[in-house]
Amino acid sequence: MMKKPAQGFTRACMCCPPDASVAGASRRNFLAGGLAALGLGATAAPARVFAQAAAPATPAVLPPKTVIDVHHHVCPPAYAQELIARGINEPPQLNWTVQKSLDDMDKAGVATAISSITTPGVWFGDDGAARRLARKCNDYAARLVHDHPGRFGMFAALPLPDVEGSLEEIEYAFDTLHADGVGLMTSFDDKWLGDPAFDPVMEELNRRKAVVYTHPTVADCCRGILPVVHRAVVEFQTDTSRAIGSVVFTGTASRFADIKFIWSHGGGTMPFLYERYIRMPQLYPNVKPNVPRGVDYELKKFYYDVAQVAHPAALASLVKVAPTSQILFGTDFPYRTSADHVKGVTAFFTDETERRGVLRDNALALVPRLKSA
Amino acid sequence: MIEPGRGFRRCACCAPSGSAGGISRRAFLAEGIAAGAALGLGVSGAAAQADKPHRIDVHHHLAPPRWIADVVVGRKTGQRPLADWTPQRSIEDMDRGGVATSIVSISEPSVWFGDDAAGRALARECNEYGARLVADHPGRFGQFAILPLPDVEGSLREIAYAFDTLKADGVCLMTSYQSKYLGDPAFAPVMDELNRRKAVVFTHPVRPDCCRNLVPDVAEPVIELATDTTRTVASVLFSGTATRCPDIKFIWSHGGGTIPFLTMRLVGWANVRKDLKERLPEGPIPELKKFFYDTAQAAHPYALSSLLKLVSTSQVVFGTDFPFVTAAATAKGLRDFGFGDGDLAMIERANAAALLPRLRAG
Repeated sequence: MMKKPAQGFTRACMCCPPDASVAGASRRNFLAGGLAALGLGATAAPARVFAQAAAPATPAVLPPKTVIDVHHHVCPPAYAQELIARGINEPPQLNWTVQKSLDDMDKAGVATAISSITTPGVWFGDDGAARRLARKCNDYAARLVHDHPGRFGMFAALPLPDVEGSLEEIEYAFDTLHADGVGLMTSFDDKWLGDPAFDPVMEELNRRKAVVYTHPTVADCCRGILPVVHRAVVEFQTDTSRAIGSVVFTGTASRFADIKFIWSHGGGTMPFLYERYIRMPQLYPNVKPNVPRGVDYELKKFYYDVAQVAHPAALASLVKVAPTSQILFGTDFPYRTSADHVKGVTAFFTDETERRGVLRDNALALVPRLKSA
Repeated sequence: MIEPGRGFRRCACCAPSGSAGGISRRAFLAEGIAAGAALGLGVSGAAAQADKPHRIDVHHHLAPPRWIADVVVGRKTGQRPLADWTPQRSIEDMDRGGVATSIVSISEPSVWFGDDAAGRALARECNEYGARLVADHPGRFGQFAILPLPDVEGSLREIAYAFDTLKADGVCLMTSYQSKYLGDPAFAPVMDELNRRKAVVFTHPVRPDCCRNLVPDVAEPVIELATDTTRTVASVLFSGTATRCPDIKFIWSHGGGTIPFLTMRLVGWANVRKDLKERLPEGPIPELKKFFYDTAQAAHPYALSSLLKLVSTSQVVFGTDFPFVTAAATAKGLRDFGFGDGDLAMIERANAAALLPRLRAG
């Protein structure tokens, strides 16, 4: 049934190569990882792994520069400084430049990338410092939007778990910077997004009918849990699954129904575990009142990006869970390339309308401002 | 699109313990009750009865009286369906669901709780109970013997006893022990011995120490159990255990945890860590395609459509998670997925029969 696996398919790069704290990963190795991540891995690895995708990809039917990338990381100078100061060695981020973003986008027909700060986010324990760093990152992103008309949008970073600082930053980001939404980590200080501590922030985001893009991070529970295996392999996407569970079963999703959540990486691992989510309220009646419209309703209403999962083993499952209208193009640049994701999406979504939806139209419906871009 | 089922009656694999984050004891007792009620539901009786027993269930839990007393009751695990287990309940469910033979195994949290001697004694008693079950019901049962890991020496002894004296069909390992995963060097002597015996190694996830009481209002079985399988697969791959022990036949529970969905993460990591090539010369994919994956709690399109992009049907084996899920419901899930008769014959019997010497002749 499956073709013999091909050799040398291992060109794909990880989201976030290991930092210095990773057990078993030498400095040389993660430097190598960073280099690999920076564009050397542009081949469509999935096509060599999954028989399904081995068929020649249909050429993209979209005219040049129409794709919208909702999962695209930038690294403002202030953020790079913070990473360096903390010994967090992330070559793809530290080596990031605007030009590298633009070059990668141009190669794959990406018109607009909505920028965000990736894990570990801007809060490192000091609220004041986090507020200042969030502000600098957001001001930088806004300038990027302004300086390259049509090429960038922005999901503003918030200094969560600092709630008060986040409320201030929401106001500034939307009212002054005209951000397209906010970018949240899946958990902050071992609290997942449905935690009651974050309710004031969710309430305000709901009032603004905000797009809330989320990115996984590694929770304290799961740092260094596997020697030799980087947390990006298992732990990141699992943390997205936890955040989805938290938002659904605490009732955050139903109480703040005007928030439009985007979950990274095809929903973490939720689609594979979908049945276990669906069953939760039957098995644990105490959460039933928190999900008045049903679990399935909430899971189908969320948005999911395809960053790192533009391959058949994930997409085949995701499309069983969510209508194609909820699936958005994302790349995880600078850890992965736009080209390999366009290729993966194009190979999987053979229906032209669906493909166009994933590459562009679904994001336009969500962020109408981009129509003029 | 496949419309998701409504009103599931099946229960989470392994009810949460009393410490489940935000889930009250009452709630998980309710799960137990729901699970008990599930035994008679999930399939139309007529269809099930017409089904001639032919299936082999590789993921079927027994609960010997001493294990119930020491673990389920003694440690208040809340696993009500296991507390209520009897051989007769297994046989009735098998008959209803067209299962000829179930290979029984102990569920999490296994038999070791800090005292090696106690772990060995409990493992021994469980395995002897399992062997009697096999003997008392000819053709209906096989067993994956439980090992008292992380006690390596005790496990080596139990391997010898289980295979040489009890004629076990394989062993049952948890996905992790005290935060050590199956590729951990500490377990290498056990893996090497299992490799020497060309053993079938059935694995079952636990709720690992890292991830108990983690997310309020999200029960551990929703995410944490399956994820522990994913971690141990990654551990077995990147530690070089899979390469070093090529004769072990691993069966991963629940369609591989979440491994198929994360396939490209594993591939990507192998690419980043080229220094690991010695441990995994061909990369993760050939090993992943060689493993076996059971259908317990994964007999639905959300997991199967992903799993089948990674492996062929020859690697998929019928498993139910009884007494948490019925055989009939699992069989129905596979039929509803749309497998053809040929694929079904492989998944429901032939693949496991080829794997398990006891059943090869059958």
